[in-house]
Order: sequence, then structure tokens, then C-alpha cells
Amino acid sequence: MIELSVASLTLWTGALLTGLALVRLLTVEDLIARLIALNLTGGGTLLILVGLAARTEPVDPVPQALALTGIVITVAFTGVGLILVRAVDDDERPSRSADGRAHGHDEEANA
Amino acid sequence: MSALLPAAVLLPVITALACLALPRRAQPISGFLGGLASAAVNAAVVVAVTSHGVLEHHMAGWAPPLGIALRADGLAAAFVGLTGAVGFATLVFAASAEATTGRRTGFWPLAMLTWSGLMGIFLAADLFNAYVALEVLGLSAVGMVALGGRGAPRAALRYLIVAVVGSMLLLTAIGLVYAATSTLDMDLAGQRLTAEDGWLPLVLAATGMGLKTALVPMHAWLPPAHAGSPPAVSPLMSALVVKGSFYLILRLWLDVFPRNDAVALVLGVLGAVAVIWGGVLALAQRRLKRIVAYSTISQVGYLFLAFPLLNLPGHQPAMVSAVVAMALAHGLAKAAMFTAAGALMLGTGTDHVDGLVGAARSEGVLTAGMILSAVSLIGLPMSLGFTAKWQYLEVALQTGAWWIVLVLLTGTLLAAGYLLRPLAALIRDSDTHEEVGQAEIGPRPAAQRWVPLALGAMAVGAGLFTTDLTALTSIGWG
Amino acid sequence: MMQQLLTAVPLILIALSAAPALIIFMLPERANRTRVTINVAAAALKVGLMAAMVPLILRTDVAPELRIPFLPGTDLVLRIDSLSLLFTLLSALLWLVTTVYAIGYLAGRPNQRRFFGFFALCVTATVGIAFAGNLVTFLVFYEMLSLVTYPLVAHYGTSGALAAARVYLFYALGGGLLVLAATAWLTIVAGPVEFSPGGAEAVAALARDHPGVAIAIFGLLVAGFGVKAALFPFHSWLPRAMVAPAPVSALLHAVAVVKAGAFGLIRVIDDLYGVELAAGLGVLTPLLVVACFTVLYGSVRALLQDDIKKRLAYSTVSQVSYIALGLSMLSVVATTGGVVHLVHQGLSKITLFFCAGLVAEVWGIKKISQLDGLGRRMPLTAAAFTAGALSMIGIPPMAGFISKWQLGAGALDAGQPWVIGVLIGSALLNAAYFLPVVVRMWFRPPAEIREGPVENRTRPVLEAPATLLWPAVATACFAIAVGLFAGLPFSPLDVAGHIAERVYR
Repeated sequence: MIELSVASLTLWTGALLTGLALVRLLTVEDLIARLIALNLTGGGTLLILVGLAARTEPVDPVPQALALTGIVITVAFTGVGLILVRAVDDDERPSRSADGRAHGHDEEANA
Repeated sequence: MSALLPAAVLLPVITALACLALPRRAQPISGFLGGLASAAVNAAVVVAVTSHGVLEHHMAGWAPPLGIALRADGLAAAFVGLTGAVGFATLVFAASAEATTGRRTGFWPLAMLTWSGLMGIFLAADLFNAYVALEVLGLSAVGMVALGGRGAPRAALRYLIVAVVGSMLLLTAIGLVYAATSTLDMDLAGQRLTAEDGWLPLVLAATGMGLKTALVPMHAWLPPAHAGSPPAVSPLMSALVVKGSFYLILRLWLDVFPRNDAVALVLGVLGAVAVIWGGVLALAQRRLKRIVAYSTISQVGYLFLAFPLLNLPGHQPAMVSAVVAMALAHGLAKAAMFTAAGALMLGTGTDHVDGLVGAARSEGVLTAGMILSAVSLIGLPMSLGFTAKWQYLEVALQTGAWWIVLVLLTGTLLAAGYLLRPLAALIRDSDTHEEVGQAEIGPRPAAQRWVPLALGAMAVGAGLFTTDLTALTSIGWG
Repeated sequence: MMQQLLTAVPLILIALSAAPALIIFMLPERANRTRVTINVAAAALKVGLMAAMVPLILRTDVAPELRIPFLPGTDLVLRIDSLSLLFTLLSALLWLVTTVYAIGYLAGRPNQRRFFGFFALCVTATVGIAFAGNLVTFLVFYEMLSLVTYPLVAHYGTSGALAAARVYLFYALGGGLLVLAATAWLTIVAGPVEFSPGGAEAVAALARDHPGVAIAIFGLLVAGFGVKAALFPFHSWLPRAMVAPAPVSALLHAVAVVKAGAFGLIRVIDDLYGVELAAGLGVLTPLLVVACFTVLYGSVRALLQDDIKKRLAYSTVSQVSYIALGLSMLSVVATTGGVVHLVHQGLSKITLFFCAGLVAEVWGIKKISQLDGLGRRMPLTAAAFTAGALSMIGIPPMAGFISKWQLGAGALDAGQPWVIGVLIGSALLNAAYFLPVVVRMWFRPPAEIREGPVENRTRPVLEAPATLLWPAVATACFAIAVGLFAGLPFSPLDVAGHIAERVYR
């Protein structure tokens, strides 16, 4: 039987969250939803780190420091991502009718 | 002497900050000067490692585990040298005209941050610094991709997601390594990590770095990001940024993770598929920058093809030298290709192959640069691309890895195939051909001609210094 | 001091071909006069230097050598031995005449800078191939040759020319890959191996311990060089490459590309394996059979062509295989015949191609059926063509006769008398496709020519301009002279004899 300590609970929650968020990230079309899924991937990863830190007594500060840095970086990329989402909107809206097809074709070629 | 290492990381950051503070018009000057100084520091690192052996520096005198440690062995020095050469050449190219850096401001600070991120990765002695440097590299590279024209924001967003997922996987791997070894120091972790604890973080890190290096099947993000970037960004992306994540997985493979044949084989097979499939995709392209971008996917395959051979006892030093030569050859040649493609695109307004017919007449220097870089990318003697392939061949033949021999030879023909199309168009004579007109090329600044030639000549000429490169990469390990 | 000077010699000779290329690329397109001066001066200087070295190298056994460290354990080695001397002398001489010819041929046409630049690079690669002292060095210049010939074949830029050039490039690169694989393999199993007359020690040891591996490597090398030498079944690029301008075809067939392959075969059989060792391994007989087949096959295909250049191309397929044929028989006479045919075939074939270009330029004649009465229109051209054709058939005292005689005597000496049957059969076929041409030219009334570049077609005699005509006449005279004076010292036959003797120690 699995011992349900706080540490392993956090660990498994983090892993589950990361996995689900990754699936969502790969399947969703909407850019904002994608960004949120990406954010959740980051959150899940950080939970894993916290879970790893909590496995020892007293709690190990190094994984926590890793998690803290991770939080800072999550904030940074979320900001960059939001700016990019707006830029995508600006880039594609005015010419959507004229140029949209060409873009779709491009994407297809890349896939 | 070891103070060179923090200088190599910090000088680009300072330059980036200086560029940020200045208006766009003044950025090229300051960026160029900062780049020149950084390149000089990089060269000094290479010289110092060659003559004095491994360099190590503890920031502000704090020793690990509390302080930040920087370390340069031969492997790191080779990549530091590559960054100096390609980075500086690209900055010269970028300084030649504002149009090379895209329609938005921001190239100069972002390029210097990218430089700094690369230095951080190459010189990091512990896992945590490597991770932070990788994030710096990733975010500034995303910013550079966003500088491009139509379609660039979407490509940048896609690249952002790739970069973040990749580094999150790496972060998890680092957490697991720490949990198993209670240290972040690469050497110590490598001594303590057992095969039992090592396989999961290895898989995570390899997946993450494979994603960021565009290893097939995780490559679809690369062509729009690399081909859609402004002329001065594409060379940095293709020649240097993908090398950052590749260097990290190579470094972890050599120093931290225990030998794992299964993962090595998977990476090697994916690399083989990448060589072939990337080449086939490149054959299907009609736009020069797309051809060059798909060529990167194929060439990245060669890098990963090394992993099964890296695992074999007795062949590791030879193989490390081979993979470093391959990475350097690709970096130099690809930067030459992308700067040339960018210059042609700025001159003609298109990068469609049919729009470049006869361009060699007025752009002979640039064409010569492209031909030289093609020689190295195809792997014809005596370029560095050839000597790298030769070293692969030697190890593969010695160990009876026939499938790798086959991939190397097929990849050579594919590369010749996809590079012939644009080069044939350039040197072709349009007089005898009415259906396609002669390309009209606006006069190019001297830098846009000579930078591709210099880089291409380096890619070919460096082949003569293969033995020196081998000696350099062997410093500090093995 | 003397030693240093000798080290520099190979480099100087390579630079003498490479420097004109660089200068030509830097000159503007319109600088015709400067380009011509540089080209001719460099070519003439090289002929002089090479000729001056003949007695030095043949009499004193000095081999100027230059080494540059390249790969771990393997150097780039440039060395001038008697075989490289023979080949470079041929290429230098033919470079000179072809340059003069090309200047006349391309006068007033576009893209001369590109043409002469890559032309000079092509010759540089040939010199490098001749000087290469080991397989890796050979490969460097072999691949360079493939690459720089592409723009020459594709010169006219038509879709046909581009397609033919692409086929050529991929055949050549494919062959280069086979050589690369073989070289890497050989380096691993036998260490870094260098060419030495009679075969390298390490290869002999390899053949003793692992004959299977030695045979496989030999097969790869022969296939790789066979592509450029147009051995069946790798020959089909050659007739297609005929879309190139006439001087390119001439040089390609006589010295540069095809001969690079043949020269590679000589190096592998005589200087890497050693002909006795190769015979012991049993690899010569299959090569002999392939060579014999190619000789006959090329002749039969040539017989079926009406296009002059196509017929000459298939004739090259056939004639170059004589070299492989001579090499694959265990006899010093046969080896001499193979080596000397390298020169003799070059002189005869370049004459024929020059003439084919002349009649196409002046009268617009591309088909053999249009050649009727050419002897009255262009007597000198027709005479040169006749000399080349007779030499190809092997009529005494022409160059071709000497090589065929050597080959026949060698076949008897080597105990393979059936080869004489092949030689006679091929000679008959050669006669069958060349003699009717000669008869047409001299004994039929001139046919009317409706299309073509000549405005005043009523003039009975209209020879080509001097720059086009004299190179053809000169090479025709060479082809006669090397046959007539084959017995003199320093004739190609004499030199080839020296080379062959050193192979059979």
C-alpha cells in the first residue's frame, strides 16, 4: 500500500497536473487556453519540486529554491506569452479574410 | 585568468542593458562594440583553456554549494569559441543595415541576452545555473523570433510553448537528480547518481532538450521560427540557440547521467530519422530560408546520431571530438547560409528560388560564401563538416554500426540535393531562359557580402585544424 | 634548402592553377583581354615548369613532397612521382590548348568569367588528384572536381543542361561517397595508407589476414572511381553531359573527369594494392571482364548514334575502359599499355571534340549525316578529325596503335589471349563507326546545309578562326608524334614503361 504522506501526495498531484496540462496544451486551439495550460504545466512541475523537498525532515531548502526560481520564470513567460497573444491578434486580424487561407496552408506545411 | 569566465557571461548582459537604455539609432554602435569585446573575451577563453587547461571560477569567492561556480573545459571552450565567431559575424551583419534586424526594436538587447544565456549554459558547473541560463536563452530567443514580419508572433508563441515545456522537463529532471544525490554540482551528482535513480531524469531531460533542439518528431516548430525571423536573427537561432540545448544534454550525458544504452539507441534512431526526413522535407521546399531551416532539422539529426556511439567505452573521446566538430561545422556553415539568404532576400525582396536566378553575377562574393558553406554542410572534403563525418564514420565502422554509416552517406546525398537547387539558380544564366527573369538585386552593403564569405571560409578552412580541435575537446575530462 | 624548395614545388604548381581562378573571379566580366592573358600565361608557365621537371624526376628519383596534418593520424600528402608527372604534363598541355580553343569558342558570349574561373578550378583539382599521395588527399580533390565541373556542364543554363549537370553531379558525388566509405574502412583496418609503387605494406598485411575485407574495399574503390571513368553500368551520365560547350566536353573527356576516374584506378591497382596482390586476391579478372564488356558495349552504342558528340561520348566510354583493361592484366607490358593509353586517348579524343565543336560552330553541323564533303569545305579540320579517328581505330603509326599493340602483347604475356579477340572486335567496331565518317568527309560531294550560323554558305572553303582551328591541328599533330616517336626517351610510352616497371618490383 502506498503511504499517503503530504510529500508523496504533493508529488503525485504535481505529476498528474503536469500530465493533464500537457495533454490540454497539445489539444487546445485557443491561444489563451494554451497559455493557461502552459502555466498549469509549470505549476505542476513546481509542485513536483515542492513534493521532492518535503520528503526529508527538515524540509530541504534547495528544491524549494528551485521552485521559487521556477515561479519567477513562470511569471516571466506568462507575461511574454500574453504580449505575443496580443501580437498574434494584431498580426492576423486585419488581413484574416485576405490572408487567412495562406496562413492555414503554411501551418499545414509545417506540421 | 579565471576572471574571464564571469566576464564572458556578464559582458553581454551589460551590453544588453546599455542597448536597452539607448534609442534604436544608437543601439547598433553600442551593440557592435559590446559584441566585439565579448568576442574578444570568448577568444581569450579558448586560448586560456588551450594553454592552461581547465578554468574554474567561484563568483565573489563563494564556493559551491552556496556560490555560483563557472567552469570551462575543452568541450565548453569549443562552443564558447563558436559563439564568439558566429555571434560577432552576425552582429557585423546586423550593423550593416537596420532592415536586417526586423521591423520592431529590440534586436540588439535580445541578441546580447541570447549570447549571455549561451555563455551561462556552456560555463555552468552546476545544474541550477544551467537551468537559469537555459531560461534566459529561451526567453530572449522567443523575443528575437517575434521581431519578424507577418506570422512571426504566432511562430514566436509556438516556440515559447516549446521552450517552456522543454525547460520544465529539465527542471523536473534536475529536481529528481537532486533528490537522489543531494547536490546540484554536476561532477558530484555524476559520481553519486546510480543507474536506478538516473533513468527517469535522463528520459525527462533528453525529451526536454530534444524538444528544444527540434529533434524529430518534435521539430515542427522550427521552420516557421527560423525561416520567419529577420535576416540577422535566423543565423543566431539556427547556428547557436539550438546548440545551447544540445550542449546541455551532451554535458549531462557525459558528466551526470549513468550510461543508458536504451535511451542512447532511441536518440540515435530519432537522429537517423531526422537526417533523412529533414533532408526529404528540405528537398520539397522552394524558398531559400525554408530550405536552410529544414536543413537544420536534418543536421541536428547528425548531432543526436552520436549518442549510441558516445556510449561505447574506448570510443568516447573520439566521438566527443566528432560531435563537437559536427556542431561547430554546422554552426559556421548555417550562419553563412542564413546571412547570405537574408542578404539576398533584402536585395531581391523574395527568397523564392526562382526569384534568385542569376544573382551570382552581381553577388559573386556572397555566392562564393554560400558555395563554401554548402561544401561543409554536405560534408565534402576538406571542410570541417567532412572531418566531422569522417570521425563519425571511423567510430561507426570500428564498432560495426552499419546503419549509422548508411545514414551518413544518404544524408550527404540528400544535403547535396537540397542545396543544389538554390545554388544552381544563383549561378544560372538567365539569358538563355525566357520563362524566368534575371533577379534584380539592390546593391548590398559590403558587410552583407563578406560576412557569409568569411563564415563559409571558416567552415571549410577549419577542417585543416581538426587535430587542434580534437586536442582542445579532450582537455579536462576522459 | 634544396629540400625546402622541393616541398614547395607541389604547392606552387597547384597555386599556379588556383590563382588564375581567383583572379578571374575578381575581374569584371568585360575584362576580356586581361583574362585571356592570365589564362594563357599561367597555362604556358605550367607546361614549361612541368616539362622542366621531367628529367629531374625520372632520372634522379626525387619525389617532391608536402605534408599537412589533417585528420587524426592522417595527413594531406602532395607528392610528385613519375605517374603524377605524366598526368599533370598531359593536363597542363591540354589545358593550354583548350584555353586557346575556349577563348575563340566563347568570344562574344556571356558568362565568360564564370566559365574560365571554374575551368581553372577544374584544372586545379586535376593537378591535386595527380599529386595526391594518399586516398584522403585524392578524395579532397576528387570531390572538388565533381563540384567545380557542375557549372561548366550547366553552362548554357537551358533546362536540358541543368538536368544533365544534375545527373552528372549525383553520379559523381555518389562515386565519391563510395570512395569515402572505402577510404574510412581501409584506414580503420589497415591504418593510414599511402600510395607507393607496387602496393602499400599495410594493405598487403590486410590482404593476408582478412582477404574478404580487402576484396570488399577494392570493390568499393573500383566502383567509386568507375563512376567517373564511365565503367559500365555507371556510364550513363557521360553521353548526357554532352550538352556542355565543346571545350568543356573536350577537357572532360580527355583529361579532367573521366581521366580522374581512370587515374584513381591506376593508383588503387598499382600503388595501393599492387597488381600482383590484386591478382592474388582474384579481383582483377572481374574488373577485366567488366572493362572488356564496356569496351564492346560503348562501341556498339557509338555505332548507333547519329549525333556527332553523342557518338564521340560513347566512344569515350569504350576507349577509357582500355585503361582499366590494361591495368587488370598481370603483365608489365599490359600495365604500360594501360598507363600510356591515358595520354594517347586524351590526345586523340580532344582532337575529335575540338573538330566536332568547329563544324558545329562554323557550319552548324551536329549530325554525322551532314558531314558529307567536309574535306572540301574545311580541309584542315577534316584532316585533324581524320588523324584523331585513325588513332582511335588503332592504325599505325598513330598513338592509338601503340597503346593497342601494348595491350595485345600484354594480353598474351599475361596468358589471357581471349582479350585479343576483344581488342580486335573493338577495333573493327571503331572502324565501323569512324571510317564511314572519314569516307563521308573526303569522298562525298558537299551536302546542302540549310540551317546554321554561316551567312555566306556559298563559299567553298571556310575554315574556322585561327584560335579554334590551331588547337585542333596541334593536338592532332601530338597524337601522330607520340605514335611516331614512341621509341624515343621521355616519350609517353617510355615514361609509362618506367612507371610499370616500378610497379613490378
